[in-house]
Order: sequence, then structure tokens, then C-alpha cells
Amino acid sequence: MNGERLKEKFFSVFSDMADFAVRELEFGKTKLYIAYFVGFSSREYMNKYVIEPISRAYAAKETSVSISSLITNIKIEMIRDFSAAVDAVLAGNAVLFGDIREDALGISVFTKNDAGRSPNEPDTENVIRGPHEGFTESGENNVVLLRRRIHSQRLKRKSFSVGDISKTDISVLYMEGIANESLVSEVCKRISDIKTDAVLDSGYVEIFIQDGKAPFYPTVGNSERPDKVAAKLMEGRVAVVVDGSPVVLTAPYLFCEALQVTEDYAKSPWYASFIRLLRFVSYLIALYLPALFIALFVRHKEILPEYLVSSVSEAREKLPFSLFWEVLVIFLIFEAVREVGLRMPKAIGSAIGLVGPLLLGDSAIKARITSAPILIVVALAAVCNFIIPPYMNTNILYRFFMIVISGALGFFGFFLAIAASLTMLCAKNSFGVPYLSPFAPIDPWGLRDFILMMPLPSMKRVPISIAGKSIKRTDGKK
Amino acid sequence: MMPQGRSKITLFQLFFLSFSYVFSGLFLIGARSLLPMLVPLGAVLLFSALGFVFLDRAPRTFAEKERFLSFLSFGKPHFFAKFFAVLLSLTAAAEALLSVVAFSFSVRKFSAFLPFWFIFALLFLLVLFIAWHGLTAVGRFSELTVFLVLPLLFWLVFWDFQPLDIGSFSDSFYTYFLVTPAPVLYLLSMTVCESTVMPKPIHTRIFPLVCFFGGCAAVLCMILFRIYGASADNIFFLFFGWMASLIRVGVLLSVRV
Repeated sequence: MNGERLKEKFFSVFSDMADFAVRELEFGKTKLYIAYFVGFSSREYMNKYVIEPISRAYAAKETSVSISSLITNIKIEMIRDFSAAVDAVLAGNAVLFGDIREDALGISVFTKNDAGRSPNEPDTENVIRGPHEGFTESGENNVVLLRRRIHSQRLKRKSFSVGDISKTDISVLYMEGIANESLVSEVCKRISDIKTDAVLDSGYVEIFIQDGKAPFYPTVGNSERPDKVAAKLMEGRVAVVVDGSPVVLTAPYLFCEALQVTEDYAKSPWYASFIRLLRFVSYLIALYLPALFIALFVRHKEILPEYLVSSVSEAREKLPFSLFWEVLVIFLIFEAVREVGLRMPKAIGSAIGLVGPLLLGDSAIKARITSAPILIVVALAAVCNFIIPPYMNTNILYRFFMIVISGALGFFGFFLAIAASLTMLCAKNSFGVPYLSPFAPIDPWGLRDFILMMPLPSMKRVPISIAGKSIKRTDGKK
Repeated sequence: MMPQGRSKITLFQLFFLSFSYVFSGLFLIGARSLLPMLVPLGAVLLFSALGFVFLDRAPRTFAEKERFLSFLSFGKPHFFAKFFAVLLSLTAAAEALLSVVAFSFSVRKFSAFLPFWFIFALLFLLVLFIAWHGLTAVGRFSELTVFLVLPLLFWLVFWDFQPLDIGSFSDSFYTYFLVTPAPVLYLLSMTVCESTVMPKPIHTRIFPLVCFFGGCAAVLCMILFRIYGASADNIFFLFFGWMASLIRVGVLLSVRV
């Protein structure tokens, strides 16, 4: 197609787009055009890899060679039809057309501007010991960060373009021979099945690929740490990298992952086991302590020691609320203060988060609106809730439900709520893997890295529940 | 992906289901002496021994219902097989109903402010909910419940020591569902699921042995709890007993011959 006509066609497609540009170059009788988006394509790359080498060649009278052989960029592609040319420009590439002396409409040159922030440590997953590096918004860079940790030809990558309008690049990474093949194909299938106009963050993908439409517990994991994702890949999980998001998804996601922290592996297994046990107990306290407190103090005072009952009763004398309403209201106030602390600007938010509860709590006790024992129970449960971030929001909702049912039915209600939720968890799968694995069903190899952590050399095999088969870590064989 | 039947269990789960089944029976009748503890164990032993002997001649996987029913009817086809299927279903259903009634009484004892029918209705809904999720979920649930044994034992060690006497059954009515072995036989018929944590299929003769050891562990546990004075006043013991009872009913309602 004639260069001028193609240029007009480009401008008709990209009409009213001030950042679209076509640069015209003339080298004697040869006329070339470069179509690109200003800012999206790197000017430096276009000058260095396209314009300069062609100029040099024409200056040296080397005019017989094809234009593509003059371009020094490693990633070029011959374009055969106009829609591919449009897609290439939209992806940040520069499209060279005109007298290119090739059997093609144009040449797409990779000039996408990859300038972004450097891989800083993520705020949400700080460690004292370990790499201080996090994913960035560039999908390509994120894959590189993983490849830098796993130098193996078995780290495979499949690419997808999702979103009818946004055409977001999504990469699925997995370890060949370790990841269950059916798991990989299931993840790929769910990504291919995404029908939406735009994917602007990995959170969008998470919603589309998770098990169930609105699961109460998360079934897709996420992390901003390359070392953490690399470790999950080595256990047979699949990673999903979404261009434009610093959060990489992993599947399947199991309950036990919430207890594991990257830093654990750099500590003595004894201490790591103690810390994990502490996390688990804190999780139970956050979830069950207020409900158990209400169930026993409201409905079953007779089984409690007398001194405990009298101590709480004395503290609660002349209070306007019943015990049940007192706990419920204090929890609601606490959640409101927490939300305010999160939404306010950082400097004010932290001050409110710190001073608010202290001031409110102290004043409420002095004004005889609440009592100290209740405040202790609520504060303990609220603080313990922060120990397992992935379940923080779920726990808040579940805790309210527990409080209500325990207040109404006593210890029997407490039991009913736990039994029902455990049944749901037991029946739940994440991408076909039992959610409570490795302790229900019991996976002996998985249990070595659960609440009690064995030394790394004794974790000789990857968890069977994830890989689907018994695989040695050392050579990746059965 | 990875299709998983909702009625498949692992070998570990078979052990824990047997454990919960026997333990809950002892808990629900409030067994405090040796005799009621040993009688159900004898029943489990008897059927485990039968299974051990007969399953040797049975096919290796012993998975299909027809084969199981054929085993029950001593190889006689059709009528006998159907007869045993109906008998097994009826005993399981009756046992489930009795278990829920006994369970409701146990709850009523602790929560006297709640009416019996209300407790019964809530429990009935809960067990239906559990059974709806299938035996696979009940099996996993049983594994979780047994994790409670450790903290419970830890707790009880600091309680007073109580003597254990050789008494008789406290209530002959409830002992009925202790010695009915329908669920145990049903468990024996289960195919061990290899898809998640069991890399190799396991020989059928192990099944009855696992059931028997599960029963033994339950009796041993109950003796230990009683020696350390566990009673209905101890909410941890109560919680554990209720959980085991739920599993018992879940197993019984999962019987689909």
C-alpha cells in the first residue's frame, strides 16, 4: 500500500488523538514513515534503533539492503495487514512503513517506553531479613524478576491478551514437571474465558478466575514479592502476571499460606514453628474469643469460676448496655476508627489510629459507658486480627456473625457457627486442591511446612496436594 | 479439573471417621465405666475381623457397590443384595435419627434455656447441611476434629484424677446405636481416594484394620479423658464430643447404597 495512503488511514483510525504521531523521513528517493504514540513509545529507542542506523546506511550509500536488516532493535515483526499495524501501535511499538522494500505492509519495532518505578520493597510485605525488592507495574519486568530467581528452562510462560478494549497482557508462569498439568490448563482456561472490556489490575483477573462468584474465603493468592512468588512456583503453583499491576496472583491458594511468611525460612525452624503457632493461636483468638466470652458470660455463668464472674460483674455495674450490646457496639466503634485511620492522609491517619481508640476507650470507661474487661477482650481480638492479613476482612464479618449467634444461643450457637463454617471450609477447593490441605486431608509432606516448620533440608518433596504427585525437590523427579 | 467424588475418603480419614464414630457413641451415652466402652469396640472388632478375612478374597479395589453388596449377601445376587442394601440404609437412617435425638439431649443438658424441639431442629438442619457436602467433607472434618485432642489432653492433665469402675450400661436404649455396625461396614466399602494425598492405591485388607485401630484409639482416648475427670462441665470436652457426634451423623447420612 502507498505510504501516504497508509498514513491517512492511520490518521482516520486515530482521529482526535493528539498523542498519535507519524514521523516522515526522506533518504533520497526513499520515503519512510514511523507511526507511534508520543510518550508511549520511547523516543530514545526510535532514534537509536531505527532512525540512526537507517541514516548511517544511507549516508554510506548502502541502499540496496532491506530496511529490516538495518534496524538494530532485537524485536521486530513484519506486519501483513492494517489491523495488526493498529494493534502494534496501540501496544507501544513504532510501525515503520513506506518504501521498506519488504513483502509486508510495515515493520513493527519494539520501542515501548518501559520507564517506570524501580523495584522497591512493597509496603504491605516488609521483611527484616530477605530481599528488599518488589514487583512493579511492568509485566515484562515482573517476569524478569522471577527469571532472575529461577534460572531454569522449566520455568514456562504462556501469554494472553485480555479485555476487549484494554487488551491487557497477562502471563501465566509455572514450573514444568512440578505444576500439575491440569492445574495449568485450568488457570489458562479461566483466563481465556474472561469476557470483559478492560482489565486494569490483577484484582480484576482474580475476581474472574476465583472459585465461585463471591467466595467468603480467598481462593487466589497474591504477593508483591518476587522471592515469595518464586517459592510458590517451586511448590507447583501457577503465577499470573498482569501488565500494569505490581501484584502477582498465585493459584491455588490454601489456608495454610496465610500462616507462612517468607522470613520464616531464614530463621531457626524452632523459632519459626513457635511464631507460626503464635500466629495460629492469635487467629483463633481474633475469631472466637469475643463470641466465646459472650456465650459463657451471657448464657453459662454457672460453669465459670466465681471470682471471674464477680470481677466482670463488678466492673459492669450501672452500665447502660447489656453485655451483648456492649461488645457489639465497641467492635463497631473500633472498626469505624480503623476505617477512618485507613482513609485519612497518612500523617493524620496514623495519629487518629493511635490516639482515637486510646482516648475513646479511656473516656468511655470513665463515663461508665463500657467496662475495662470488655475493652480488653475487644482490643485483644482486634489486634490479633492483624496477624494474618489475608483473612483480616473475612474475620471481621465472621466475628460479628459469631457474636450474634453466640449471644442468642450460648455455647450451642458458638458450636453451630464453628461447625457450619468448618464444613464449608472442608468442602471447599481452590482450583481442585482441598482448601484445608495439608491438614484436611492430611498430606505428610505438606505438614512439614505448616504450623510446625521442619528444617529446609528435610522438606525433600513438594506437597502432593498441590503438585498432584510425589516429586522430589532436588531433581524434580518422582 | 481433577474430578473428585464427594464420597471418596483417604486412609487417614477412614481412621479418624472410625475414631469419631466410636468416640461419639461413648460420649452420647455418657459412658463412665469400662463395660460400655468395650462393647462397641467388640462390635467393631468382630466386623473388622470379618472384613479382614472376606476382603482377602474380594477384588483388589473393592469399589463398586455391587461387589460390596455381593460380599454382604455372601455372593448371592439380586434379591439378597437388594435386601442387604435396604437393611443397611434403614439401620443407618434409624441410627442417624437416634444419634440426633441423643445429641439434642446432650445439648439440652448444657443449654437448659433452649427448648428441646428447637435444638433438635437446628441440629437436624446442620447435619443435613453437612451430609449435603458429602462424605469427603465429613472425612476432612474428622481430621480437623482430631486436632482438638491434643489441646484437650493438655488441658485435662491439669485436672483431678478420677477412678474408672467396671459398671454396666447406664441406658440400654441408647446402647442400640453403639453396637449397630452399619456405618463401619459402609466405611469398609469405601475406595481410598488417591487423587490428593495418596500416591498409591492401598490394599483392601488394610481398611478393616484401620477401622479397628480407629475404634481402639477412641476407647483409649475416652478412658484417658474419664481418668482425668472430663465431664459435661468441661466445655472443651463437650465441644470435642459434639464435633465427634456431628461426624457420626454426617457419616450415617452419607450412606447411599
